[in-house]
Amino acid sequence: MALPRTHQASFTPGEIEFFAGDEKIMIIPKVKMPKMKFISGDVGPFQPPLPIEVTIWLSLIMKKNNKCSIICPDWLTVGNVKTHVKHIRPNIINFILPFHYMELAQMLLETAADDIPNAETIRTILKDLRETRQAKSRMGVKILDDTWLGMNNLSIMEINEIRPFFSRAYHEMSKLNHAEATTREDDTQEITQDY
Amino acid sequence: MLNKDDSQDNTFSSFSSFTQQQTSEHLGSEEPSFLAPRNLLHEQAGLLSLSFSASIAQLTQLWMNERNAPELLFYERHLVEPLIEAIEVQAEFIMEQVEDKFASMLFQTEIERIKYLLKSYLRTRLFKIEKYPLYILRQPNLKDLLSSQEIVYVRRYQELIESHYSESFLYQLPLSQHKQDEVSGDLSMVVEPNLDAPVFCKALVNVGHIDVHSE
Repeated sequence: MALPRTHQASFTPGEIEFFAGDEKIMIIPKVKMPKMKFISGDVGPFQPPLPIEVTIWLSLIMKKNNKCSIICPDWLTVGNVKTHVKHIRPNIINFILPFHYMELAQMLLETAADDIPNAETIRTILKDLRETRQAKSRMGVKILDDTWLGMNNLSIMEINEIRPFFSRAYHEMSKLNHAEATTREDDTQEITQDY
Repeated sequence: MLNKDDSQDNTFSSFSSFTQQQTSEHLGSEEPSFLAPRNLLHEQAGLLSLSFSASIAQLTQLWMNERNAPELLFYERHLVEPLIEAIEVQAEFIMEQVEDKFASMLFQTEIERIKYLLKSYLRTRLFKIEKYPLYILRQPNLKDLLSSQEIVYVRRYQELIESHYSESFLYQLPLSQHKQDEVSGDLSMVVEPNLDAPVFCKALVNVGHIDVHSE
């Protein structure tokens, strides 16, 4: 009705990209533009070749229209992502990647592949990374019980994938545990009564 | 950077208290602030562009919360209504003053983004209103919970649903079965949101180990 089915339990990936769009990134503008007053703030005058910090959505539009080149963010380098994959295999999830890393990487690789060194290598490593993280979070979900579940440093895409399953599972588990607790109470009451 | 954020917060709070003052002076009641006269908005236009990044960030967070929370959260009119005005002012500004096509496209995109955010927020609320109309109508703090348009919507929706049920089949049942909000034993016919549903939280500060009990 008001919200289509896909939107009801969790966010759609499109919406997560929307969130990621508000993050900041450095660009080098190719055209000169005066200061612009957006609702969300002023975007300073563009003076090529000075780099300037803007929001991601703005940078992607400019890139598509060939008006800027994007400076690759620090975390999206082959070295960094490789270290991350290496550390993940023993039982530690290290936090070198930002919260929105999946969708930021996706959008940047799609639109600005020429500004990112070794784009293809990064793509393959990121795929690897995603599979490893998924396997890890599945292991974490296996030990879930109905009181709480904590996993550190999940990115928002991963949280979003787990969310609908987890809410439903949690709900069912709490019902089962509640039922179990009541039967136990009933049993103890019966015993005392007999006595 | 820190100083800039602080001044933005200050400007925002002064702006909202200003609008509240204006509306109560001009209209003497709880009318929404977009009825304030236009020339005032243009004078405040400088102030507007400073204060909105904070309110957009807050609205984004609020939208996330609203989507994931099982029950309806309070309506934040102090966030929504200034943004609606700002969009209108900005749209006028684009049409009249901006000549460069590319720049106007950038402005348009930003407006579309904010509109999407607002629409999605309002739709989520409508979805929850449709799920639990009777429960919501019975809340004591209705005016804080819903905007005035939402209150009209929920009343009308509840009337429609009740009349639909009674006209479709209830009229054929004996009179004792006609009530739609009966409470028998532990079960109530009024659908309530599951306040025990789990929610994902983000810890802002390291709070160490927390014990959670199943109650």
